[in-house]
Amino acid sequence: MSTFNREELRIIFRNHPLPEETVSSLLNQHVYPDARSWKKFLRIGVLSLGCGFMLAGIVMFFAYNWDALHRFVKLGLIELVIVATTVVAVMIRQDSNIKNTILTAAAVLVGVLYAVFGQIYQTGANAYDFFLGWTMIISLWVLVSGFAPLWTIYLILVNTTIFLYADQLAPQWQAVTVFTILFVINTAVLLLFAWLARRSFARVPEWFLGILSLTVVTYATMGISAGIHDSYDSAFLILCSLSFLAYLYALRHAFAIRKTFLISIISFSIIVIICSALLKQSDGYEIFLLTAIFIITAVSVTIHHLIRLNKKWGGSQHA
Amino acid sequence: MHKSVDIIRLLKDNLPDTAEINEAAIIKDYEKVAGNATGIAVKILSVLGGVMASAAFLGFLFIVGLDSEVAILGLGLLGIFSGLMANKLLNNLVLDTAGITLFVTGFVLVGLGVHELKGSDITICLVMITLAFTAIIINQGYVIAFISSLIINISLIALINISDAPLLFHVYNAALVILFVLITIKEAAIFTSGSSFADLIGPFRLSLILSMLAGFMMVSLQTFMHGFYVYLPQISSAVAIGAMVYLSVLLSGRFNIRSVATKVLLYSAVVLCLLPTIMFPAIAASLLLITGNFYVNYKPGYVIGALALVYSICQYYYDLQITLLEKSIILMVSGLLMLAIFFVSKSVLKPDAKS
Repeated sequence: MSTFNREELRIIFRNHPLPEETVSSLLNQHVYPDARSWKKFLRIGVLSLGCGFMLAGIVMFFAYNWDALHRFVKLGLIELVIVATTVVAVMIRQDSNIKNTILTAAAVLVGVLYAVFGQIYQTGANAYDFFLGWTMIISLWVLVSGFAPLWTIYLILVNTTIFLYADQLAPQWQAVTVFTILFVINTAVLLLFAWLARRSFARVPEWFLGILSLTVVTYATMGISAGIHDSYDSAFLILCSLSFLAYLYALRHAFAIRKTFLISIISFSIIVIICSALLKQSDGYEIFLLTAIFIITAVSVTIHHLIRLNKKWGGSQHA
Repeated sequence: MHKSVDIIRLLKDNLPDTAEINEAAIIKDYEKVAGNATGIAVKILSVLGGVMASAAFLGFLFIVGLDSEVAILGLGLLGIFSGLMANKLLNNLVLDTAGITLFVTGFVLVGLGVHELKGSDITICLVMITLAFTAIIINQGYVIAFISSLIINISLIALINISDAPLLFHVYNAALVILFVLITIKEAAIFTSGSSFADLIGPFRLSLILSMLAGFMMVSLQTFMHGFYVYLPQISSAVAIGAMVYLSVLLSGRFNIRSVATKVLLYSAVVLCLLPTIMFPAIAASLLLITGNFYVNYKPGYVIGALALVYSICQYYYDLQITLLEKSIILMVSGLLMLAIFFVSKSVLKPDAKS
């Protein structure tokens, strides 16, 4: 028999008096982590702290900007560390997670190399081309590793590059234009990973798809809300059309895989967008009252449907 | 989710053959739980929706113009009461958002009402604590209990600040750590106690975690509030480190570690690793949250703890009054030490190794 979760066990505890030892034994057996889980937890914890401290130490070493070190020595040192880390990641006889964690550290070190370069030649720490270079250089590692945490860092870099480019080189772009570009890029990546996962070409963790979906929905919501208040230019229309199509596709997918997460975030996004449209109409008291009533009604209807769907799908998502 | 028949079978497996089971009650409870099974997304949706609707409703009230202090206070009390009753009597997740909206709006209006009636800040906090405490007693739903216990903790933190008695933060932190350890190690006892607190353990645990973080951050981030300084942060650290050692003792018992040398090594490692961070108690508190929540397999808790740990370590090194080179050396040595432990203990900590 598979293990029961805490809520299922509580149905027993609420309806049948049991001695504390039995309850404790059931919790230990079904809910609490066993020795194997503790060992995995400690291994991941120690490795993450070790890599994190080492990386932070290296970053601070170069941030110190030691005058006694010639600029070529600084660049040479960091390049040596990158090469060494990459060689270790390739040569080490460990499972792929550990190899990929070390490769992720190497990818972060590339950023340090760019920062040191920027420090020496005064190119600025927040220049968009700093992030663009960093992103391009690690692209191959990201592709080869297929490691979700490294992909997460990569996507953060891609998004940062676009934000900084818009801020530094294209200040004439409206907020809605920037959000449209970010929406398109992140949606493309999300679709790619969803396809890879469905075809079993790659193991894509659920948390990664969840974060990516949340990012895409956030951009759509912020972009359309900004567009409603700023302008109705072509980017706004493109974003509205693409979001509509993406939401339709996502809802169809959510019904196919029987998960309510996508339905929840899309519903909330639509509620926020409609609120923005309502508040744009006027700043009189009636509109605030109408917005409050709308939110309560819309969220209640959404929850009602989510509960119904969950019941229909076997209540598999109880948290 | 399992079927009700599986749950009944599990119960039967843990009882003598002659024991009588009220299967009808279990099936009824199961159907209620399965009927309300929603996942965390729905809870977040109702809280966010409730807060957004409250903001819009407050906007409406202020534009309309509520001049009378008594009217504000009365409307606030009415809001809290209606929210509680809507939530309790209808006992329906669908209507949670409406209840939360009235409840949150009510608290904001009561705070404003007391303020307008020239009540001191201390009075406002005490009124909030009393109302939130009463709300928990009247309504034992997840979201109302969570919001109410957060209001109590926010008011307590505000009271310490207003009273200009920062040392009380250590008392507050110690109380929260004791409560956290108790609900961590005594979960079975809470479930068998038959008290209504057993139904509140979920929201209470979540608000306790958030409040603990707030309390320890107040002591650690000395620059957080202008002119506000909590002396002797070591006191809060000592409490958190003590709790970590206590959990280590329990863990060594759970996994049958009998060798005295191993036990001493384990406890010393916990103390020695945390001693350098004694001036920044949030680090020990974050580690306590990670360990304690992993101990009972409460995922949101150890994710919050991990995020808090990353933030605390960054802030700790940022605040440290030494040169960047010295910080770099300390960090690299710590990193090498951790990696050495990882590789040396590889065989011991392999997931499939025998415990």
